[in-house]
Amino acid sequence: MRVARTRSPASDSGPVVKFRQFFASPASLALLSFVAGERSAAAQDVFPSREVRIEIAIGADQSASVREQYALTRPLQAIDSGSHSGSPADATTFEFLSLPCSIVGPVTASINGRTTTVRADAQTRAPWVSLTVPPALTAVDTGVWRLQYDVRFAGATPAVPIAMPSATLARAEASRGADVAIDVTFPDQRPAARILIPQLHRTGAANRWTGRFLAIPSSVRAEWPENGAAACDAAIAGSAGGLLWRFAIFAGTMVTWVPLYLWWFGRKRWPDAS
Amino acid sequence: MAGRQLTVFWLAVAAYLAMVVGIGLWSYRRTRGEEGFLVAGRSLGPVIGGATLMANQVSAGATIGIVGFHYYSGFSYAWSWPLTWIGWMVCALFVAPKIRRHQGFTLPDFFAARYESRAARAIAAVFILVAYSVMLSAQYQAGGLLFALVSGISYARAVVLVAVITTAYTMLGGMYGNAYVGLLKAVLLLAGYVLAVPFLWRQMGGLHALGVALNALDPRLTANWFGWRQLMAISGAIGLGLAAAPYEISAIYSMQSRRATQLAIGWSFFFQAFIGIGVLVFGLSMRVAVPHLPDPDLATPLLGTSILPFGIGLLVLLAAVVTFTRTGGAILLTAASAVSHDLYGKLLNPGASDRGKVRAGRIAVVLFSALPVVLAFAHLSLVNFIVIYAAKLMVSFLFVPVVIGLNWKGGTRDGALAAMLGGLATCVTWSLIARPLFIGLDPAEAGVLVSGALFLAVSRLTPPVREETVKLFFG
Repeated sequence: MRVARTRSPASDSGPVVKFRQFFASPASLALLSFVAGERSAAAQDVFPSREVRIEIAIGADQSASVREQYALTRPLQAIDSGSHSGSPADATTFEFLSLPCSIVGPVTASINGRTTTVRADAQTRAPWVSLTVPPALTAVDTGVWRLQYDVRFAGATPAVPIAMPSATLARAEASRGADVAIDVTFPDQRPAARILIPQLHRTGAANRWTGRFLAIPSSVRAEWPENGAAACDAAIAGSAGGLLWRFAIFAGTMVTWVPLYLWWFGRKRWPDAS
Repeated sequence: MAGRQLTVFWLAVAAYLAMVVGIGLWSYRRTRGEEGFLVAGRSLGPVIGGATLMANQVSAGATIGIVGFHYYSGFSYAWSWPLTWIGWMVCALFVAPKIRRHQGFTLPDFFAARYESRAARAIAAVFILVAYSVMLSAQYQAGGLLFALVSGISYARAVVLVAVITTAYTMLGGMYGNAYVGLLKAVLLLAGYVLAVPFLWRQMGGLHALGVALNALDPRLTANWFGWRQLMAISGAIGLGLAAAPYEISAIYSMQSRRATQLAIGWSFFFQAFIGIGVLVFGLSMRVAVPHLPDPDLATPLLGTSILPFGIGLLVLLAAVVTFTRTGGAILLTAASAVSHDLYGKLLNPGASDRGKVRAGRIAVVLFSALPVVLAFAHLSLVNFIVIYAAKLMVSFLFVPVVIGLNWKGGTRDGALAAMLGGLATCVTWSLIARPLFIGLDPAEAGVLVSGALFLAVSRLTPPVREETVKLFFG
């Protein structure tokens, strides 16, 4: 697929470059100005859409249908062949976070009437699933890029993974980010059904929730007690990279140090000058 | 935010400002001259003192900037909290007990008394104005980002609004107001974080799920994006800088006693522990919840406006508002005291009355508030980068003459002047070399080493201070 030059968040994109440059040269306003200039240069690494509409229709049968539309601001361009993800030039441009109690079905992509099924790679960066669109669908013109897929839930709290470009969206005019509209509908008006995360608001129709964002959230999580499904306790599989023990040592240090300090200085009697 | 929610947000901000005005007016009535305005009549106990120390330190650099750092670099920056506490220990053991023997108001007061030098006072006062302009611009930038995102007004207008709010409340109460708003800040931060962290923790599937998602994005996010050497350099600059930071010295001068000061440092650890864990969970969760933000500094504003439920999100946003206005206030107050007390009251017009100096302080607050607005408009870098940059300058300039000067009788006026200027020049020069850890040293480390060497060498070669001065600090 020919798309805008995209890089994974972990790659050497804008803010990473700023980190490195900061440590290389942190202490003059001139250098800070240089960093600011680098920020402008890095801002070109974006997916060329600043207007996104995502519609999620939750069904009564423990499923949801997701429709995404990206209004392209310019033709999609060839990806940088030196991609840091190691992907070939015509490869991955979308991704979603796979959740343990939600199964995402085949993803189809379309632009200007041409449609194809997207190849999903769930192994390389699990639990992130990379979506590769065949080069045949590469758009050379502008238009509305569409993604469509179904999700099946295994629990009473439906969580819908949202596929998104693996790059920052273009900024809408006079805004700090893009204009992303998310619209969720439940199958009927059940008062206890609600969206937990992100923050969406119930509209006039009691079964419809909407919200606007400056970037795409990785999932929409709902609470729907009346749907009769049992809770899903499945945990996400994979390595946490040592985060748990690092967090435990960090939090333990902080929590232990405070009473130790107060005890030590509380027991000492210092002569007061005032 | 829009409609009713935006109205509620502005009402909450207005309610906060009304409380600040109330505290300010109450403080104003309690304020008796310069001692009341600048050092709260030396009345702060351990808990309010701890909240004050925390409130000075935990700026928008933490609630917005460090969340952005965690968003982009993952876990490792969290170690900067306990490493920074080493600096606070230096303060508790080697700075606070000594400096409370001297009944000063400001850090330049200390320089003038310890080194018998009007030049040292003047240089320190001017340096504070320059370094704190940079630090204050980070507060304005963070506040501007938040107000612009929440309300939809332009970034420039939002920055001006933040500057006006910060200036107004600083003028009202001086250090009394700052101390009690510091307590309010601590309460709001704790309330917001105590509600938001468990909610996020649960919704993101717990720490293991977060770790798996982050580790797949980049293994450095869960491990060591920053190496120990980098963390030591940053934390050394921030922590040791805090041990000699002008606004923390002013806060120490505001405490009831040396014992109260040391216990206050412990209470500030208590508040910092909550905040450190909170900003870590915020940053990591936001990286998974919204992986492609256009600017890491938007993580906290977006968390409050779009991710958390409205009530909890409002608390998080309000805590951030209190953070940048309160720290901005402490910076403004310190800069104002450098102008009114040190430059005007001690050097330009030594006969000025207390009332005249308080008036000069309030005028200085307004004037000094304007320059950082220009820097914030330029949006130079990430908020936390700017805070670290200012910290490196401060530790290079202040650490040796304050901390060594308080603990070594042999320090002289010329030694202090050489240490201040030499340390600062080395730090700036090292940075301009533009190589990370040039000959193995960070700019701040090089600055402190050169500053220390100059202090020792020049002090050995120049006349000592008088015996009475030595007795004042060394008994």
